[in-house]
Amino acid sequence: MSSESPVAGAAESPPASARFTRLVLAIVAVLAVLVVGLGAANALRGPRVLDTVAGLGDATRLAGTTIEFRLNQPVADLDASAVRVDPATDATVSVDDRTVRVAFAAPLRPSQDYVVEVAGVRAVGGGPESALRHEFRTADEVLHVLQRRADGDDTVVRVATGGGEPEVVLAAPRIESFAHAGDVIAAIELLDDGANALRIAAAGQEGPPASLALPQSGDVRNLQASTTRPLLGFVQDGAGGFATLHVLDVADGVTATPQPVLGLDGSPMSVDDYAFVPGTSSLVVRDRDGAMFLVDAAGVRPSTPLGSHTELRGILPGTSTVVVADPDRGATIDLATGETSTLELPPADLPDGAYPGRVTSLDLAGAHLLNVLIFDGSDGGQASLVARADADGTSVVFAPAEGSAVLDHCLAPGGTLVAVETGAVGAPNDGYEDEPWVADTITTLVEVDTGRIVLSLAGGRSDWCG
Amino acid sequence: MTSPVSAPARPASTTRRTVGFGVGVAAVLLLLSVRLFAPAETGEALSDGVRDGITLAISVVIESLPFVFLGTVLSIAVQLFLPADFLMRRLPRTPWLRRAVVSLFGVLLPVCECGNVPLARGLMLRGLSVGESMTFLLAAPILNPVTIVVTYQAFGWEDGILAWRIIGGFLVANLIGWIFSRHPDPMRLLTPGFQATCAHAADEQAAHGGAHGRAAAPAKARQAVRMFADETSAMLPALMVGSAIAGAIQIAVSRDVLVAVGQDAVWSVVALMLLAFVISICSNVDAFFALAFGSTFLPGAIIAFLVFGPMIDIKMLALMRTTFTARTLVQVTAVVALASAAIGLGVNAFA
Repeated sequence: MSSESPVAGAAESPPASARFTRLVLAIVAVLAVLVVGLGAANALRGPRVLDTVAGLGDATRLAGTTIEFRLNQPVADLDASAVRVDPATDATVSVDDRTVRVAFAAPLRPSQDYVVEVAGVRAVGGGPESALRHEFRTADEVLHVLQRRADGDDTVVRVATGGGEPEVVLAAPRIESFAHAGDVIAAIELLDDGANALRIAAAGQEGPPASLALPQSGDVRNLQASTTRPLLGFVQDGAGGFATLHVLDVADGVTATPQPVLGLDGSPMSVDDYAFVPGTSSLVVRDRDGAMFLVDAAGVRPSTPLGSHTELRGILPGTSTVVVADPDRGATIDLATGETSTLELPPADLPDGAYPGRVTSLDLAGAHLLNVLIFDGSDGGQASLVARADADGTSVVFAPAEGSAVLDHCLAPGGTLVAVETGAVGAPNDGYEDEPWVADTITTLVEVDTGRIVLSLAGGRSDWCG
Repeated sequence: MTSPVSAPARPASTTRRTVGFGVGVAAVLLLLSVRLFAPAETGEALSDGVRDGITLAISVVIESLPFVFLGTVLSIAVQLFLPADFLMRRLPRTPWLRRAVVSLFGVLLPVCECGNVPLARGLMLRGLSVGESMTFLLAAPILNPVTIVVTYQAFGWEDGILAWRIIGGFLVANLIGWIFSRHPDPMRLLTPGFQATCAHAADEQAAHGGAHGRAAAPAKARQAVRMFADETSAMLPALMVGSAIAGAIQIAVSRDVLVAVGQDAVWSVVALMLLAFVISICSNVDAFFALAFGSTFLPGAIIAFLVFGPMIDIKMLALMRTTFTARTLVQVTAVVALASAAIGLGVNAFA
């Protein structure tokens, strides 16, 4: 044994033994006090947040975004009144062992500071309460508009809701329509011979956009993009009026190859209309016979029939609920459950001489936006506006300045903003033989709930119009 | 080395060993007879609880046995082949630094805590002080590569469990080492039987110039067999008794009750330390056992389980009782339990 522990044959002296005992007791006492103190510190504190996970990637575009508070101990269930969101937003709260999860019922506003608080959080075994708090700012929403120019190339211009100067992201001699997905902009360019071509460019790309090699000859139309995935779609007309839908996965940039969307029999279907389902890689496709299908863009999962409907009106903002129309009614199809429900639109409270135009559904309760054209019978003048109608009544969302008229409105992917396109009353069209449009249009971004104008910029045919 | 306690008379020891061997053989024959000749449904006469208790006790034995044998073999190797002053010459002379180095011996001798008891006995016989041996005994089950890798596999870096286990194991073991290095007569921390063994070893060293290695090979083999018999006859009864108690308490204490109190920041630490004490699981696998509680219990409780369990549990106390006095074990248990609880509660409160 080492010299530190002399193996003395004689018994130690009583004072030495007593000193050791006192040392042990003192250390035990110190440790006991420490344990009691730390125990009290634990007992007097409620559950603590170890980590907060906010899945905000598509928060402005999809409902159901969650904020997860990961706590240091399991906590008791909470009721809905425990959660408060500023600015006021519908949210639910759930508890799973040590995780408190707040889920937003609808997409959030872009470029907005939010505060989420959960009160009355208590450990399963009881004890003091804690309040959880998380602050975050949502991402900017980005709007692209088309500026047609008589004196030069047409351009696609991008602007963010959070501010900053508009930026040209694609230029081509004559652009018919465009779409953007991920970091890629695609445009249908009108050619001199009356045909058209598909151009594609990556964000920040120098030089002219590349020409996408098409799988067949024929005009391209109905160019759309997924709002949450890097997917583009377009319809190409072929022989005998056969219209093939192609999907382009641009996750790896502009080098993607278009893939035809196949029907149940494994051959390309002739498509009338389609829409990407937000938050998924699926599309809802309506064929020339009116039959609708849920189709996987990657072709991995088999198509699902959704019945026959006269019109595909789109997808409710931030959801996977499809809006369809038939001669006798409008309806919604929940793609998660396959359930079809009648969509009752509350009648808008409009004055005499008002004529409703384009309608855009906002939610399952029937709230909707509509263009309204109002004729003044006394002096023959006319006005236009965008109104919101729901079960609580009708309100004006946007009314243009005198001398301007509403041409169209298009909802942001999340449905919290609307891009209203206006043009001067009596303005000439832009001279395009195909797809002519009013010259010198202005696009104004407006908050749907409040009517607050976020920004305005020259141009129209926004990518939000799908 | 001298000792105040003279070695017990050899004939009495031989008689006790013979009687013990006879009892063991008789017990094995009895169990074999029951297994071979009793009807298959005999086992059903036992209640579920008793059968669970037997299963749990046997599982602890099966899990521990390889490590006990490995530790015994290493202990014998240390005693037979390690020159008496080998460690003394190489270890730092500063006491705290010396204990810090000793607490890392587990990196080279990665056996479970049950194997560390015979190994610690062997190290004491080879010159380590009682305090240093205690440091090794408590630190080695945690500060060894097998335990660290298994803990990492189970928890990764999550909640700092691995880091706190390593830090906690090191601190607590060195605290114990420091405390017992202050004892004025460390031999009195040992049982009379182990004191006698130490005295015998000291006498042998004096007689042979302190080197087992000089004996002829056949003599060394005989000596190894005798040492193996001595160590296993000291360790295995303790292991059996400890495992039986661990099995019995596990069926007496409802695991549901443990889990229920485990929801609390304070009681979860107490509950998992109690669980660690009762189930007596080896440190090489305890992290995966604790992983099952990971979603229910707080990180501090898991850490307290992983620090306290390898140092003190029923089986370890039974094994350590072969070497240390009951009073010593009470003191060690109190300090280790309070220190482990402090680490667990501290993590729950602040980490």
